[in-house]
Amino acid sequence: MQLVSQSAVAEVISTGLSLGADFVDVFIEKTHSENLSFKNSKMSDIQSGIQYGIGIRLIKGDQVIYGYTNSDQKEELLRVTTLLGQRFKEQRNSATINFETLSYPQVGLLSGGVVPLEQKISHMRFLDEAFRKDKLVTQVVLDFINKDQQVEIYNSEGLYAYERRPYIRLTNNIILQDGNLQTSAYSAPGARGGWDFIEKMDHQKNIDDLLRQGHTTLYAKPCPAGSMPVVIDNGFGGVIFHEACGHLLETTSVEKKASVFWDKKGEMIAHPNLSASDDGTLDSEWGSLSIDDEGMPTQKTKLIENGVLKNFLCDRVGHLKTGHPRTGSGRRQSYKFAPASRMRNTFIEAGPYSREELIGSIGNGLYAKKMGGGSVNPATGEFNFSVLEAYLVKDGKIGEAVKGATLIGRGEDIMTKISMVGSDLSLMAGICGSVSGMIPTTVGQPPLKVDEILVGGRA
Amino acid sequence: MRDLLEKTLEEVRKEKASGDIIFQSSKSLKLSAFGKELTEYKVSGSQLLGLRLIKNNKVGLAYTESLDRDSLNYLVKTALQNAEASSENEYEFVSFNEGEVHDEELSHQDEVDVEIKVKKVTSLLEDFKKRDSRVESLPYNGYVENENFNMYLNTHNRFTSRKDQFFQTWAMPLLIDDGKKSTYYDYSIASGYQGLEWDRLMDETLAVAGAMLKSTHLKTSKYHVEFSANCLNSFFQKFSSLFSAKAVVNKMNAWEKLLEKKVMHESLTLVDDSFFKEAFSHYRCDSEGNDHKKVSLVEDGILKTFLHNSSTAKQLGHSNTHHALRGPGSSLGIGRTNFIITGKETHHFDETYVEIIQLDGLFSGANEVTGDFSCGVKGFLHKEGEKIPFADATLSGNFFEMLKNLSVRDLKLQADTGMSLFTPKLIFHDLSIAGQGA
Repeated sequence: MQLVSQSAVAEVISTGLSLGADFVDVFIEKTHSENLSFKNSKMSDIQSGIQYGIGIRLIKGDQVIYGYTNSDQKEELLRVTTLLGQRFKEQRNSATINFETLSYPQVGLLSGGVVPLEQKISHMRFLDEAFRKDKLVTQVVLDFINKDQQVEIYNSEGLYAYERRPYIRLTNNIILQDGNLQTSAYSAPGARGGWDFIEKMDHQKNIDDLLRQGHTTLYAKPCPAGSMPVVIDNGFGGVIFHEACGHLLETTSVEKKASVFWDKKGEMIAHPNLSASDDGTLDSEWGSLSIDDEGMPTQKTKLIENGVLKNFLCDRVGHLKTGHPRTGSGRRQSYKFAPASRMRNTFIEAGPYSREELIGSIGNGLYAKKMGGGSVNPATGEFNFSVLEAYLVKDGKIGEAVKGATLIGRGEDIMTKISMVGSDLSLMAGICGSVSGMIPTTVGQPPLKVDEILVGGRA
Repeated sequence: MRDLLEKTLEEVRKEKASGDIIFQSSKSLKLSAFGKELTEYKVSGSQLLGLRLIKNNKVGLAYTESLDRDSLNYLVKTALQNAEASSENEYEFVSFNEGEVHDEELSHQDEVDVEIKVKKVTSLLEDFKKRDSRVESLPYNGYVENENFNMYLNTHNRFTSRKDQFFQTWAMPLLIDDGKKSTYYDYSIASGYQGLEWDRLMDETLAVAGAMLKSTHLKTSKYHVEFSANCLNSFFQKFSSLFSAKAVVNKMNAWEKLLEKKVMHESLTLVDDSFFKEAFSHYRCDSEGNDHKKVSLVEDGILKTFLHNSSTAKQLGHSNTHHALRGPGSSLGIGRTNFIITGKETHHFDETYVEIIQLDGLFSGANEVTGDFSCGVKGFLHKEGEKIPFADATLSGNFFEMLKNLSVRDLKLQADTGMSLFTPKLIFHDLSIAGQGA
């Protein structure tokens, strides 16, 4: 597939180089999106759309100049390139660019082909009816998101790469009410692929999990506040590593020395029992890519091994500025953003303990079964994240449910306090927002024990 | 472009359907620096065309960023297919309004050379360091200027257009003293480059980040709390569904049954006013092409109405407040404009209280259905005439209860940095703060 003629792209790149750029790349994107929203037991909205645009990046030294346009006319692309290149105030002889198509291993995906709207709607109706069998459920909102992103990447080193990236996600949001008590529960499984993901999902488990979460939080008491040991369960619990450490290992922060870990490669930054990776190559995972948005094949990057910082997540500009090797981590939301070093599927690796051993080891504390989102300030390492479903632990046993908890701390501190890691690793889809926009990422971990963390609550 | 919109709607009429179409385009320049180096120079131009088509009481939506002939054909064809597959919705219709409105908020012609802007951004670290030698770096420092153009046309021939622009700069200095690190982020927004408040931005971020270098830990307890206008605006943004009639229709509004009932303290009134003089943005029309109205949402603590579009007004049998919000790529929703909170009387307050200037994680730590929230906070403890900085604390409470359990400390209105929320100084009583202090 070629969205724009190669000769036009070659001319754009050649123009960028002649204006003084050391490196030029062109990112062409065409994305078909389809969003279905099912509310009030009705198919309320169906939206379809085309995103189409071209991003042009010129790099000179470590200065990055970026522009984008929706037009693929050669004259417009040359106009944008010239506007950008004029900043360098330099003229060089123009170069001839010949492109070689990149071959790379394809990351596996769940197929599915074209599925008629009726089939999707029928599935949403099935889920709506299943949730509403519970008499406390007062509302069900379901959103189906299908995306088919096609990208072409060209650069002045002669690279041409093409990838087609299908995404599918189903968000489930239910509201439960009992008298004056009200609560909500949410899940959003997603994958790289098509309808097969939905076909292969264990829907009854998804429905049961969400209803259990809703029933638990409906009657839960406010969480007590204070510093205490916490067991964080697997799956979306991985948001702790994502926020408290993952963002601090992106060269976007490291290159500015705006990460507390910027100079810690080879040093102990975490408990010796903790190892973690960022792996873009996992079949069908939400954060997987065959190539990154700079046209580099993705890889599994070992971030931490037995507590020692082994690697950063590095894109081209991060490499230029820090010297760390590129890791196929240059990512962006769309052509409207220049790429930046970002996470893909990031997780703490499995350890030896069972969930019961972890909970039994903390005496009194908190068991955070399901986590919500969070954020971090990379410069200070201060992070926060919310807990959606939690239980008090008393004498090593799970006790009553509590609600409204949040956990805060500092990355470099919390990494040394994850002292026990469980064996039951699982991954969950999420959306991560940062300098290059909102991108699909996976978080994950086995259950783990944090020796002490500040828990916010009302009790 | 208007010609293109008219031709597209002509195709809609041929299908015996009604509809409206929105065209949005924007141009922007963004600069980022790290130290003296310009690390990002980004120029952009984008466009988006979105169609809402209604046929046989069914709604279909389609949008495209590509304006070639194939894409325009796709727009009508896809919207029609989507409408056919949707459930019937007897309440959604194209507002019957006509005439033209041209809304322009381009008050300043920007004639400042781009090199001056680059120089300003790349010299900002030096300017910060001149003011405070503890400044180590500026991890976030940038500038953006944006010009937007929006057109709306419907099958009743209502046409509205809007042009607006903004200029914005932001900075987050990192201060290090005796091994302790501290940052504080703020921004300045203006309708022209010359209106940007660089000095205020530097002074305020340095004052807070500097104070936080000496931050202490609070003891876990209940405190009386005063929020900065920025923090309070974050609450109103997170809990925006409380004022939305669409959330009522979707049974996701906790105040659904509280019309004419007390939802806020009896001394408070809350008005949505798109024309409020001191606000940054003013809007003449909503996204259905209807003229905006000033609406009293809460009077003396009593909820008087929700914000409506034409569909929710019809479904609930209320008056349309003309607060439709729809982008080219989204379905018909509801959005606030400027919120103005006023108080009737002040309450003398000389007790210990906590002033909160930063909320971390409110977006994920708050539940719109229950009102419960929990998030990280920073600020100052005001005790016996002293102002003591604190960090590493969490704040937890219930927003619905919080709005009723308060007193007004000062009637003078404070604005958030984006100038969309105006509020008196309010003290919220007995909120839970967890800290590591003894």
